Amino acid sequence: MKQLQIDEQKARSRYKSASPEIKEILEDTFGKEFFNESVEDSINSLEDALAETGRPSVPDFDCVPEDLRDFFKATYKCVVIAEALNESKRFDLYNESEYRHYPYFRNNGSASAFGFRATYCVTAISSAGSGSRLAFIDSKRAKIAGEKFKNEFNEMLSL
Amino acid sequence: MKKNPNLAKIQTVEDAFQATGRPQVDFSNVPEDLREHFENYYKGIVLTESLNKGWKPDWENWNEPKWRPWFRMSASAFGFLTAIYDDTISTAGSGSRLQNVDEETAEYSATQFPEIWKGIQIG
Repeated sequence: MKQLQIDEQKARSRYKSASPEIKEILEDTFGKEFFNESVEDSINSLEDALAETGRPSVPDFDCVPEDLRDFFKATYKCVVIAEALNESKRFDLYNESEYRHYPYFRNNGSASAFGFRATYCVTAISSAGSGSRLAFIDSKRAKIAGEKFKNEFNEMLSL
Repeated sequence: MKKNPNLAKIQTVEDAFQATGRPQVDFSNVPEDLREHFENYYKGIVLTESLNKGWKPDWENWNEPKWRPWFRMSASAFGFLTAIYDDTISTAGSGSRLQNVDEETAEYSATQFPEIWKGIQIG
């Protein structure tokens, strides 16, 4: 007899596209509440974000010069975190009625004092580098990203 | 007359690669739907490096402005809107690698190379 083992991260990511029968099995195993948890509560680490999005783990980026690899790794992490918190919703950047929210950080004149400061939102404009991959669909999610994933954003912004 | 002499030297993306000595790269190890974003990000970094005359932002210096171009997002008229500077604050996507040494450089980068910046935004 073969046994199927599935951890919480995989169960959550498979649940969305599962058939009603499989959903029932997953709910019996993990409890219905587990799948009703919002992404704000369920995404607490990069591993959670990777599982939520189904993205592969961080590439080694050995295609780019060595001094840029850590920067691209950090950027990939933030892109996946944003995708997970946004529940994979992509932005239409040309839609003037669609707002994109971003976390804002201040280092207070010291690298060690880096921290979340506020969120801001824009519609039909954007700054270099911001784009759709690092935007959030509401200020709540931008704030969660800025606070919960402060270290990942610090890494990306400082490298 | 432009104050930054690099602006006259860097007319194409190839000029930027040549000036920095950075290689052209292939992002095939990145998920396919993310490649355009990362390819253009890399080009944006190389371009910014080539224009900045060796300058790098000092995030601990409140008195140093760090300039970035802003764009009008329009399918038919994507383009440079203005250049704005920060001191010690930064936002997602505005890291050290895409900051410009002065307003003139930020504006030149945006108007001369809109395809790169558009590719980062849309990719």
